[in-house]
Amino acid sequence: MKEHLLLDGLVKILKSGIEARLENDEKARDWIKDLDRTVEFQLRGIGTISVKIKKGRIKVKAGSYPDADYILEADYDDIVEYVNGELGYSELLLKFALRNMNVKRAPLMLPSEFLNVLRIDEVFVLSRKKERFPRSLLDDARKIALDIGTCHYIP
Amino acid sequence: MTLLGIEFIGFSPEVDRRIWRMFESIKKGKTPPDRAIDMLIRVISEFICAYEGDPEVCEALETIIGKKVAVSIPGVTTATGTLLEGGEVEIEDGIDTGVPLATIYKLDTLYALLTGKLSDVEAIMSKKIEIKGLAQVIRWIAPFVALQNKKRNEHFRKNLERCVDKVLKKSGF
Repeated sequence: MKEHLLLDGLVKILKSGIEARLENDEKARDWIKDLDRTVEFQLRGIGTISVKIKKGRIKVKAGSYPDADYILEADYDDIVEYVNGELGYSELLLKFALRNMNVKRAPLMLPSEFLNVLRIDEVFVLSRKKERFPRSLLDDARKIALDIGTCHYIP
Repeated sequence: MTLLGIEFIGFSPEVDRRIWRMFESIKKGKTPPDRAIDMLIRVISEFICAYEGDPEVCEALETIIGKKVAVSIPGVTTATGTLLEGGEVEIEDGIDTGVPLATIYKLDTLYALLTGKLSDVEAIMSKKIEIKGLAQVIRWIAPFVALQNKKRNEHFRKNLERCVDKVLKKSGF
């Protein structure tokens, strides 16, 4: 199958999904009102999809923006399962810990940036799996966040 | 309104009314509930087969022949659909293991999805439906979504009512 067709279709599906999300979810709209962040998803073996969030608007395209704040590299299945909410917090943290999902670029994880991450997550994940945040894994989450912030910080 | 990224405009008021009557009849136990799933699977396969003969998508179409999708309406019915050559669909009772599964918690939700009154994203967000194995489904359907254009959509719309009409007639509506 022509890979560009898969990538173009994914962009259309993701775009229509996010648009519908923002149209129907006031909370999600509020979350991104003042957010200025670009997220790049590198899908292994398929290509790159970028999402630019600025002034309450979202642009989705195949390929990269030069100024991506976050670059996340993962298998296609993992990314879709994350967006669909099939991956719970524990599984997600495990994927990061095992490097199945890699954060290749991220700003310094100050508390304010951690809040931005939560906002972005709120917009992307369609339906969170019913699961309490695993407090026992909080320490791992903190370590991963520190790792992301210190090792991949782009000033 | 979209269903799995497919631009979807719903049906004429007359067909919409017939679909509603069929769903009411299913609720009352007068029509077999598998007819509702039958209609959903046929709508999706109709979208894919609107591209048949289109050289640009022949390869993509070949890769999804024989693929299965299961649908469950808990407490009502379950079915697994297989896409066959020539746009035919084989629908069997039950759920095959390892197949993408859409769980639709209420018949009313399926009616709203089919008639374009509710989008898939809204339904997932409000937990009215749950899809396991979405990655696989999107992998199959994404090339067709990428190739959507005015001409192809028009073709899809024309065929869609005919396909739904067939299911409605088969059920006596």
